[in-house]
Formats: sequence, C-alpha cells, structure tokens
Amino acid sequence: MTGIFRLNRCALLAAVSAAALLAQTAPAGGGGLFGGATPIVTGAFGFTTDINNPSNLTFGPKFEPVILLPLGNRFLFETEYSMELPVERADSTLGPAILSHSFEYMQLSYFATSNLIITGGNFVTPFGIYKERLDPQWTRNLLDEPMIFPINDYSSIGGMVRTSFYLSPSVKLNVTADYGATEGVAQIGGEKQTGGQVGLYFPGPRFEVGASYSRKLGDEKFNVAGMDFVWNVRRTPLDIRGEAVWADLLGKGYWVEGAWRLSKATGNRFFRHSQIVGRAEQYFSPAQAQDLNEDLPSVNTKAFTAGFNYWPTDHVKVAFAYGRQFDSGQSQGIWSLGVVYRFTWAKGE
Amino acid sequence: MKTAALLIVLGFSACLAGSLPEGDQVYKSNCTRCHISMRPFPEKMYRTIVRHMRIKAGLTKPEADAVLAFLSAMGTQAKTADARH
Repeated sequence: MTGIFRLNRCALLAAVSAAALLAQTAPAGGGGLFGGATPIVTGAFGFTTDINNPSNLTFGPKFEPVILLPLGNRFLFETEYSMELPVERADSTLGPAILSHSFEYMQLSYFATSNLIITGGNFVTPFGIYKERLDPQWTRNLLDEPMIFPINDYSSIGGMVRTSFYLSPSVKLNVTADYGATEGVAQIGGEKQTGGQVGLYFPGPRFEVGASYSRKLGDEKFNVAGMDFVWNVRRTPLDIRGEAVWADLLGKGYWVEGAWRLSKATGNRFFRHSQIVGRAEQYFSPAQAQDLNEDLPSVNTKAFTAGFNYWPTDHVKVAFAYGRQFDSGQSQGIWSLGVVYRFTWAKGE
Repeated sequence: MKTAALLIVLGFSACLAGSLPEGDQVYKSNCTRCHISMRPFPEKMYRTIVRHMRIKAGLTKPEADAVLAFLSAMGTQAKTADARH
C-alpha cells in the first residue's frame, strides 16, 4: 500500500513538474508561470450541531481548505483537504471524538481546446449534481446531505475527459467520461470504476437536466445510474434541484430541494440576506439487505426538511434546519444549527 | 461520401463555435446555478477562479472569457455582486 502511495505521489509530482515546465513555455496569453492568474487558497471552516432527540446530539468543526494553482495558460492544479471532528453525545455519554481527514481531490487539468478539458489524478467522480457542485459546506443549502448521497459519494484515481458545446444557441451539451484505475490509498480516496455523465442545459429558461452512469469495478461489480435537474426560475429568486439514483446493490432514492432567496420579498436588510429552503427525499433499501455502505439507512426511509440561511456578511453563513424522518412506522425530528466561515487568500493580494 | 464527411465536420464546427452570450448572461445562466453571490476580487484571482469553474460548471473557453470580463469589470465596484436579481 505504501509503495502504491509513493508511486502515486511521484506520478503526481512528475505531472505537476512537467506542467510547470510546459507553463514556462506557454504562449504569452496571460504570461508568466501562472498565466496571468494567481495561486489561491480558499475554503471554509464550519461548526455544526445536529440534535435528533434531547439525549442524542452530534457536534463538531469541519475544515475544508482548497488550493488552486494555475500553471501557464492551460493547466490548473487543484486540491481540497477535508478535516472533520464530530463529537457525539448519546445517553449522557460524551465522545469519543475521532478526527477524520482525507483529500477530497488532488487533480491536474489540461485545457486542451475551447471545449475539451482533460483531468488526471485524484478527482471527485462526476455523477449527478450534489457531490461535485453542492457538497462544500459553503455551497450547500442545508447542513445535512441528502440520504442517498452515500450512493454516489466517490472519488477516482485515474483520468477524466470533459467537453461542452452548444448544439444551438438555446441548447448546450455537456459530456463527461471518467475512469478510476485503482482503489484509494491512505488519505486519497478512490474506487475502481468507469462511467460518464451527459447533461443538456437550456440557458433561456435556465433549466438543466442530466443523466449519469457508473460501473463499479471493485470486488463487488454493480451499476449505478442517476438523473438530475436544476432550474433557476427567472421571475423570482427560486432554485429547484433534484436528483434520483438507482444502484443495483445499494438501493434507490431521490431528493428534491427548493431554495427561495428573500432578496425580492422585502427591502429589509435581514431578509435580503436570507434564504428559505425545503427538501423532500426518500430512500428505498434493496430487497436484500446491503452491507457495502453503512452510511445508508437500513430500511425504507423518507424525510422532509425545512431550513433557513442567513448571511450576516459575505464571509459568514448561519444555517438552521428542522427535519422529520419516517421509517418503519416511526418518526423522529432532527434539529441542525451551523455557522460557516468562508475564506479566500491569494498570493500577493 | 467525402461531401457528407465535410458537411458533418462543418456542422460540428458550427456547433462548437455556437453563439456567445454576454458576460452577465453567462454569469446569470451558469454561476447562479450553485452560487448566490460573488465577492469582488482582483482580476488575477478571478482568472484562477474562472479556470477552476470551467471544469465544475462545464464552461466553454468563450463563456469563461465572457464571465471573466464581466466579473473583472464589476469586481471593484460592487461589494457584493448579486447580479442575478
């Protein structure tokens, strides 16, 4: 395992060095080692509390720094590290607190043409919309992920190709193909898998619909398929998103989320920086109980969550939510409260 | 056969060329799918951020250039460029 890790690290360093060399010989579009751009360290620090009954609560900090390193005009090296220290108090017993930390991704991308991007390294497996776009704690609308999130919470070590172009002025096609060659090692996550994603975007109504497929090639070989959509309603600051996933061995489910920003509802400063969120979701466990992913519910479950977000400044988000979960004829409420601070720092700024 | 191939290539190229919307339209259509607001940054930072978002949001180079020009122009003016609304 250590050998593989060293090999991967050497390959990554070699790739970054090669990119740096190429960058120095890149045409002078922006010029310089960074192609007229600048390295950035950004990310978020958050603290979240979940209470699912008076005697059971989970709280703790989460730190997600991101490094963006442009190289010449055609390369970008980027990495995100995630650190989390959840503390659980159940039945008046506190802890233990176990630090979990790992790379979310560590990838080098080459912008080959206006429409083609080639990425190598450790990358977030492109599937659906949540993992790639909405997972960062600063970006997500509700503090907790959808129930079906663990079905496509994967990374790959390998390569990915993306292309996007307009079929007509009113329709854009996005296509992604990915291949994960090996299992993850140490703090670098990875699954042996291959798959792809196709999306159509209609700029007029601001509506996007996509389909994803992934074939898991590890010890257990199975298929995962998904559909997703995003609609930014033009007339009012309302976003509606949803995702449905089917997995041979892991079950199936969906979530639909609506987020309404109150900026147009009132001139009041507090409400102009506020947002109301609602999510409905359902998970159907497989006919044969699965033990591949312990983060998924063990029985059919549905949930409804309502949330309220407030941004006191451009850097800080305060989020509050209440959800009700129903399974096996029982129901329980989950309260969530969190604060997220977003930071951005650039070389020379 | 050759003519058909040529037509396919030309058609594909026309698709790739597409039409380029204005920067604010590209911003509203793409960035606000996930982001509520964008803080003002110096242009050098926007160059990095837009390059990063070309991957995540599936932006073409002309779209990325349009967003960069739009953000750079409004970068120092608005403290919070909530351009969507």
